[in-house]
Amino acid sequence: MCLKNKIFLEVKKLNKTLNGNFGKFGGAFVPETLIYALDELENYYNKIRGDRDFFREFNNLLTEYAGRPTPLTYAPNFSKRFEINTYLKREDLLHTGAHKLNNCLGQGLIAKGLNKKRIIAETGAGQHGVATATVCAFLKIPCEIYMGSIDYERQKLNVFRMQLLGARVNKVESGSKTLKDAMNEALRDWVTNINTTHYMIGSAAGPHPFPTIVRDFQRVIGEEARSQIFKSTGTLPDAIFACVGGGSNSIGLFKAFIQDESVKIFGAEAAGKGIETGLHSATLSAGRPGVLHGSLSYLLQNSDGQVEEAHSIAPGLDYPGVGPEHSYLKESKRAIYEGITDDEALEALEILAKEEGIICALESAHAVALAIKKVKELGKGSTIIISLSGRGDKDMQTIMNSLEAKNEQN
Amino acid sequence: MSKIKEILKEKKTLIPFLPAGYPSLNATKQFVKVLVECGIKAIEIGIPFSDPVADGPTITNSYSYAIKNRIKSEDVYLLSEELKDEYKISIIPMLYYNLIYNKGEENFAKRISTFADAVIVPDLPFRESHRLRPHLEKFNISYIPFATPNIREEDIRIISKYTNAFIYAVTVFGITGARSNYSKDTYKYLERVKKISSNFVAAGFGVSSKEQFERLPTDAVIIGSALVKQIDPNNLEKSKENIKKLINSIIN
Repeated sequence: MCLKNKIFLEVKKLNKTLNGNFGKFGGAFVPETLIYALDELENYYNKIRGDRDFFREFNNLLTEYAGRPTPLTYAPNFSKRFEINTYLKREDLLHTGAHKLNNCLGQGLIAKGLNKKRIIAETGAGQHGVATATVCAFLKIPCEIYMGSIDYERQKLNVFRMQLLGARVNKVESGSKTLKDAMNEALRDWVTNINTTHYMIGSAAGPHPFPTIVRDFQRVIGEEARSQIFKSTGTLPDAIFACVGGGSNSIGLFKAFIQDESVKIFGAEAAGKGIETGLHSATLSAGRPGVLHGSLSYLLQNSDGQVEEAHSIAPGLDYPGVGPEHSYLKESKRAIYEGITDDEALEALEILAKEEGIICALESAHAVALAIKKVKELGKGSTIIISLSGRGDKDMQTIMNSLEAKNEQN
Repeated sequence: MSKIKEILKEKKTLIPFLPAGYPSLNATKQFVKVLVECGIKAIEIGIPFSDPVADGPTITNSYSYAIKNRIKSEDVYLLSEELKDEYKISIIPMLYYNLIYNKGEENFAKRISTFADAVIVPDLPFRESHRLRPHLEKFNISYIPFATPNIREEDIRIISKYTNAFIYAVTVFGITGARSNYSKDTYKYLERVKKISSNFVAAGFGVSSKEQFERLPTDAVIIGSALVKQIDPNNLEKSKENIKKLINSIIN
């Protein structure tokens, strides 16, 4: 059996089991106190996995409340400019402006089913925080969001949105004051309030069973994209692209295509100011396996095993870890992960805005930039899908400041 | 029998926790000297980690301080060897799993075998402990499992079989940090663990007073944050005095 086929079979087998491992990655490296809650969550999830009523309610919310399916938009001007047929999966058009709502609706229903009286979450870009606050308002569950103070300042609009939705937003001043530290504080809160609280993790990261649950709630992105591209072109795409921070939108898109050998899978990581500068978040490209926030996965760390601070212009990618399934896809070579710098992402964002009239989030701009980079390799006339994981409204101030600084330099 | 077991067999034991390198390795060495002079026979040495999710602000800040001062795991291992040779105490390193994974489990066990009696890993729950236990056993180091207030009776029986030291019974749901008092449920839960366990039990999290030390129905009591709070990073002598005063107020 050729290696590729073997990998596909392994992936297929892995996906049928809920054992928390993706090859050697995954697991549940958390204080013993949390094991009880993780078991409770896993047992409940196993129960609802095959429960038609649960999924009827979930799918109904995705359609009636969130606005699914999101369109798969053909990008004619971009396609012409780069001589590559480009389709955009429009998670930016989902209610709250990003893919995060898919997962929050699913986990919100789980929290309700588990009779949890309180929900906590961490957020970097604020999109997961907004989606969490939205679902909590809708389901009438009190909610608290942890956010690094640097992210709090650069995403003030989203902080206000969360507060308007009734959430309490806690500024985290420890460590790098970004997503990593927000997650540390959320975990500390969860350990303390384990009986009453559900921790709504927003990335396909964290301890088992979160990477599986988040992926399963996000796989709707890829499933829709797969059937939409078939409908439009009668065939599968040659390649798919998504940005990878923790990795929830990307695993959601990738999942539906993993077994399609002809489809190349690309993940765009944040190379920040350049991997060689050390100021980046390119975990899979420049990290090595380690344990953070409950799972064994690739990690940015120094020679002693201390977690290094990450950097990206896109707050949602500013994380030194990554979901364990991505580490598995990297090592099995099923997906290719490459770094995109802040400047390349900004340039891609401007191109997409001017060519198609779509201002995407800085996170998504990384995926667009990687697609542009790969045009030559894929060949003229290829067909690609890029996941636009979110819209750029939240990033206006950052984009404005960065472009002004660039113009001053020139 | 491990050294820590021999100590626990004698009488109820206070096990202090010190974050290594806070505010310097030399200061840690001097703090240990003070503790030994107070009659302490077993010490937990915290190896600084950047993201200690089971710890509260006091210990987290002490770790950040040490890391900023470039304290490395190997520095702590060398210090621990010195302490063991000088004071003949039982040394129990406490560290997060990434520091172990980074070194490789077998290399780690081999490295700490020169001084460690047992090891505590706050983010390695029992179900993941198979990754480390066989390597520790090879070098005669005891793995210390955790019990939590929601532990089932059968699990207490199981975990107590897997240690040659003691069960670390976390007194409360939460992170490390001194607490003024415990609820009746805490005492009931600890009594249950003590009764069912075939091994020694040490209570930890939130301990700060003589009353707690005496009332907690376990073989040992661990004191962490309350002790770390006695350290003034800018005044070594005052810190030593504070430590001496606190420990003496608890065990004498």
